[in-house]
Amino acid sequence: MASQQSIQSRIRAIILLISVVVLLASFSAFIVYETISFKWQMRRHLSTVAAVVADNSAAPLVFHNKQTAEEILAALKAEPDINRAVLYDTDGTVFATFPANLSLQIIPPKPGIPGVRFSRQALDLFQPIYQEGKPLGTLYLHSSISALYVRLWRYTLIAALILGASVAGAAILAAVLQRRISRPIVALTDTAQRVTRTEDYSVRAPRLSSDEIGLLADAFNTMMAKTQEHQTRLAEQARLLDLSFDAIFVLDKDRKIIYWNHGATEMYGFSRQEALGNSSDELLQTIFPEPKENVLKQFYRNNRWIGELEQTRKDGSKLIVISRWALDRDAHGKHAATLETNNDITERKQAQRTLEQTVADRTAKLRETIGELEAFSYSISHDMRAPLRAMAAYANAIREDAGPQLPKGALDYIQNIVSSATRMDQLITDVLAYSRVSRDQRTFERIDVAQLVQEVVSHFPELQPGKADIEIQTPIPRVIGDRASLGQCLSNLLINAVKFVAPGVKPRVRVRAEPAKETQISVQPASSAAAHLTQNCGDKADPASVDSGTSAAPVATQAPAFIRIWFEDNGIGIAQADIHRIFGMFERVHPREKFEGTGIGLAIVKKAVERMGGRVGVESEPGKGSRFWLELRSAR
Amino acid sequence: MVTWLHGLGSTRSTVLSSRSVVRGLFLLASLIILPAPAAAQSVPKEYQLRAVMLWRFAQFTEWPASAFESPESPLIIGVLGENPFGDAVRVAVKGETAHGRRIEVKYFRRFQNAVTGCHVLYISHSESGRLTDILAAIDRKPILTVSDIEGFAREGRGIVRFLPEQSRVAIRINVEAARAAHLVLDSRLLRLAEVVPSQ
Repeated sequence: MASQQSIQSRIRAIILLISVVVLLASFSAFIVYETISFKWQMRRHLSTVAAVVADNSAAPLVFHNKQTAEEILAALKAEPDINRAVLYDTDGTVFATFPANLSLQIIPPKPGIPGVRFSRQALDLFQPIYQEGKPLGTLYLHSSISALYVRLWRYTLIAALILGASVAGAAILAAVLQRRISRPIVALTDTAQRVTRTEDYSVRAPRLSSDEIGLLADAFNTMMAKTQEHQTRLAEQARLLDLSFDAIFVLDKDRKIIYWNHGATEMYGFSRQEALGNSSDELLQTIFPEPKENVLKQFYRNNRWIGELEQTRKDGSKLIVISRWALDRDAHGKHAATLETNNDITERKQAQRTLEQTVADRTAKLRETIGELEAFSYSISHDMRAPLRAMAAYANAIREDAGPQLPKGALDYIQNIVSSATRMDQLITDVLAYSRVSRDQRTFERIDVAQLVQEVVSHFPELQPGKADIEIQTPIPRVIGDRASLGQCLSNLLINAVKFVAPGVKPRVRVRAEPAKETQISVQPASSAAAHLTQNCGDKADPASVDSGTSAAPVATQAPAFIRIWFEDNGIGIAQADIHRIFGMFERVHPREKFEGTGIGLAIVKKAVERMGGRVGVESEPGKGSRFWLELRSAR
Repeated sequence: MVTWLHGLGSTRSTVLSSRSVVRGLFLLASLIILPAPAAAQSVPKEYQLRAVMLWRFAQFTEWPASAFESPESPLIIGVLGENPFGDAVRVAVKGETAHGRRIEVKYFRRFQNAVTGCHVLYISHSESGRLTDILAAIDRKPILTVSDIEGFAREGRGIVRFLPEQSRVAIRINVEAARAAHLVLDSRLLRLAEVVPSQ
């Protein structure tokens, strides 16, 4: 293995390098020391020789005995290194030489400075000779230092031989000893590589030494044990995630799949291997409810997103899922991963559609039944009027023809019959009116409310200026509605307003208008009626509604503007407890003996306004008058 | 000659010492003005050299300590009889020492005076007739006897004899006589000499 060779050869190289360096350093030091020591030795030896020769030369110099001087110098031939010697007298003149026939050309003509000097080739010595403290002359010795070079060369040779032998020995030792270090490392490396290759975390490294590498092996094994534990836990968690029916997968920051659970495989048909690394949006051909950029923008802003997605399985079939996304950010707040949990709601969606269809069908059937019932009750009511009129007519005939003959009591009975019949007739009229506003096809048009109010006032005696004050605060914007229905509503409201006043009080009603608040429209439950209204509008191709333009557009988001028309009276008012039920059918708040009425009037108003797409309401307090209102679509 | 010049050079070198400047000048003046150099010049060259050698012998000879009164006592060179050196000996020893002692020169007429008052004694030719008496008088006294007289070292009991050779100094030394006088002669000196009796 490469690492094995690497560490082994490296240890070997280090050992060899150290041996070579140490040996070289030792040899260098030794050679330097030897050179210095040998030079010193040479210097000392030469000085000693010079001292002896100089001492011996004193007498010949003193007594001018050249022959003896030359004999003394000739003794120097015992010193192979000293190849020249000269004796100078006090004048510096050459007195004697060795060898005796030495050429004067190669010797210093005058004595030099006393002392020993090394030159490149030789060792030169000048030794003054004294007798009784007085100079007699100078001795010059010239010694070859080839011995030094011979010695140096010999040392170098020996050093090279020892170095070679040592390096060879060190190489062998290194090869043997490095195994002690490298074997545990190599074993550890092998173990680590096996773990990497097989992902088997149960493997443990052998502990081959008790040094740092042994500790490393222990640490490695501890780490492996922990990793194994984590691995087991992770596997357990992954297994639990796989148990989920939901598709759970994780996307990296580029929305590539990096985790894919078993639920996802079951839901989409793609195996984990097929899914990993792909873009989930492309793999599943995801169709977003709005442009993907918007979805991602919301997601990154809120860190989560929930929505319905339409996706495609591996086999090409479509499915609808509820998708829940959670964004995982790293320590720096950057997008790290997206956890996506998808829940198949295709069946639920289908069931919902089926249910909606069923409801629609049933509603239609129900509406049909109601229509039949209404028609039935209308005909019944209508047919009941003929006998009633007959009863009233015959009772009147009895009173006119035989009135004087009849006893006083009988006339009262007849009067009761007539009034009962009349009341019954009124009741039937109202019921018919109610049923008409419920059933009749309506023609929507632009209506001038102020003018319609004037018309209603002129029709009813109790609304005349002598009986009551009807004040119309103009302008009142035109509204869209059915003229007959709205006329009915206005008359009912106005007559109610003047009827319920305290005795002796002249009724006063003020009619005014204001734009309805949008919120009230949007939360009110009659919005389906509004939709119905628009539908009718379109069907009938009414010129007024076509003129209105925007109102014909089937856009639910754009709520039509509404006008609220107020009817404010100075009547007795309504107790808070009764307010919620006054718009009900046959609901009477006051006893009939006190205020005449059938209890249908406000029910008709409610029904009619709702069929025109509007709303009704009231604000009141007992004794402070009532303020009825109705909201109708503006005819802008 | 060379050694003599050396002695002169040595004298000059002492001039460097400030204390001896006056003395040096005086010496120089005396060399030029006094008739001594003229007298020296009249002395044969051979004797000029021998004059120097006399005190040089002293340097190569060791005396027993009893030969001196005190460590500071000078070493005395005596000339007995007719002086052949002129002023040469006195000039040669000026400023020189032997064994650390000053050297003084004395001239003797009567040998009875000489044998008690000196360490080196030159016995002149003029004393040839009285030589036996002189040596007897010296007996074993520590005196280095030097002479030109023939047979002085060989037959007699003299120690050093100057051998007659032109411009080249050759000496003969009787080592037994030296031993009898309790004198130790430097081997270097012996090496230059013809030693008797030969071993």
